[in-house]
Amino acid sequence: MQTNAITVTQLNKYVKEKLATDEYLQNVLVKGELSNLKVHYTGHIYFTLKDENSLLKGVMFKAYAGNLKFKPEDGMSVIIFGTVSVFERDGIYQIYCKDMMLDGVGVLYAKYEELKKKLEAQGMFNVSHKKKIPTYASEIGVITSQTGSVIRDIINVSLRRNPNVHINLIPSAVQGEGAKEQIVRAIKKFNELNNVDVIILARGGGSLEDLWPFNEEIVAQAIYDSQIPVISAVGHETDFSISDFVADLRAPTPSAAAELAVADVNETKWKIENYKNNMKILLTKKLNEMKHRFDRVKLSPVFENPLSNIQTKQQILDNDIKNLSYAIEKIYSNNKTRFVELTSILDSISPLKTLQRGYTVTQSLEGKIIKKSLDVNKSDKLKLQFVDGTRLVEVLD
Amino acid sequence: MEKKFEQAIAELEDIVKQLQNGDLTLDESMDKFKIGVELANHCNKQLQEAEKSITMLVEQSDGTMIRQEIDT
Repeated sequence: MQTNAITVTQLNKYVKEKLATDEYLQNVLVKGELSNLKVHYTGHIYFTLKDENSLLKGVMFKAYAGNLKFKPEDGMSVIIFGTVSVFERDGIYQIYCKDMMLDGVGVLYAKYEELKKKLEAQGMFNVSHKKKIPTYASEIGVITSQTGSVIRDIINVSLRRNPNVHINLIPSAVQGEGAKEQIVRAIKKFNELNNVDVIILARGGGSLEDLWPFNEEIVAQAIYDSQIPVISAVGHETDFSISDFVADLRAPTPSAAAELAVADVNETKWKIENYKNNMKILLTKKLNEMKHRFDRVKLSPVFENPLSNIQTKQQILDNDIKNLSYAIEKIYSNNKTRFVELTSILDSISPLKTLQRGYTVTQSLEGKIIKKSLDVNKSDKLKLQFVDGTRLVEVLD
Repeated sequence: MEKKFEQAIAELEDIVKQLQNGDLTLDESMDKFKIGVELANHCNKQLQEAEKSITMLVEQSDGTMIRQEIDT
């Protein structure tokens, strides 16, 4: 037994050679999901390929990895072309990958990302290009399948919010062959007819493949070119399609799109009632303002007591007169005092006083005062002024 | 053609705004108020005229579209 034993290396080498002789394993196509993916600094890629039940180790050398048109990531579904062989050191077999491509959804997903990047770069998602959704649209355009719950939901929600709204449906396939062309035609038709205020482009939930028409470039272009605002409501809340990004508004679901497009009639009525009340309040305010202004004018002293101005002036005048008469009185009394003083002075120097002491004043008959005896001749008649009267005398000598 | 609802309510909103600004004369305010009430009544009337119409546009062989009622 002992003598028959071979080394581990020998065994691994043997298995490796065995596999190498199998034609099929030299060029095998295998599909699965990438996991544990690591890009080594050397540029080699190491990964595990798995499905629900099994794992397969894999490696892609730098020389091949350099030719990849996408960046492999964990979770991607891929198809791998390569050779199955043994890694002798670890005693494991693995696939030596020569090429790798995205499988199914993976391909779509990559296309989606690529288109999204491209359109974004072209500015097709720019907010500045987005049109305003009318607040009170009355004509609603709908593009969706004629059958199914989506159109029902939109009709129900729309009419519940406003029974007066008109719904115009252009039926269109929303998945599969020809769907994208039909959607584009419907958008163009609404623009041609120009009979709606807003377009709802809607589809219920589905797989990425189902929703694919809404990720087509021609659909995106038609939405972008539409003169009528477009609301995109594709799939469930968590699904994002290219049409959602290009549309003027994204609604998480078709029902939500109807809510966004149709104003609630009760809310609107309430709003109008509010406006009416506001107008009444504002007008009443204006009237009161005017009334107050009028009252202020009316209450101003000019109107309240028109004589007050005259009365005031009268009072000033009265005062002036009073002051004037007082001034005059004062002047009068001052002068009177002075008069008394002067009179007494006059009295003291009056000749009458001299006369009282016994002197007389001699006057000619003409009244000329005679001071010297030589001025008088014999027989001249003279007047003698006494204190108590005048007597005529004759000069004797 | 009757005034469109959207336009009428926009005019109504504008009048409320003007009245709020308060720099109108009393005469202007009264006029605006009158127009505003008319607009509000007009809007209300339009809201009450429930006429429910749901149509499907069906393309004919010559490319024209015809309206077809859908049952709800």
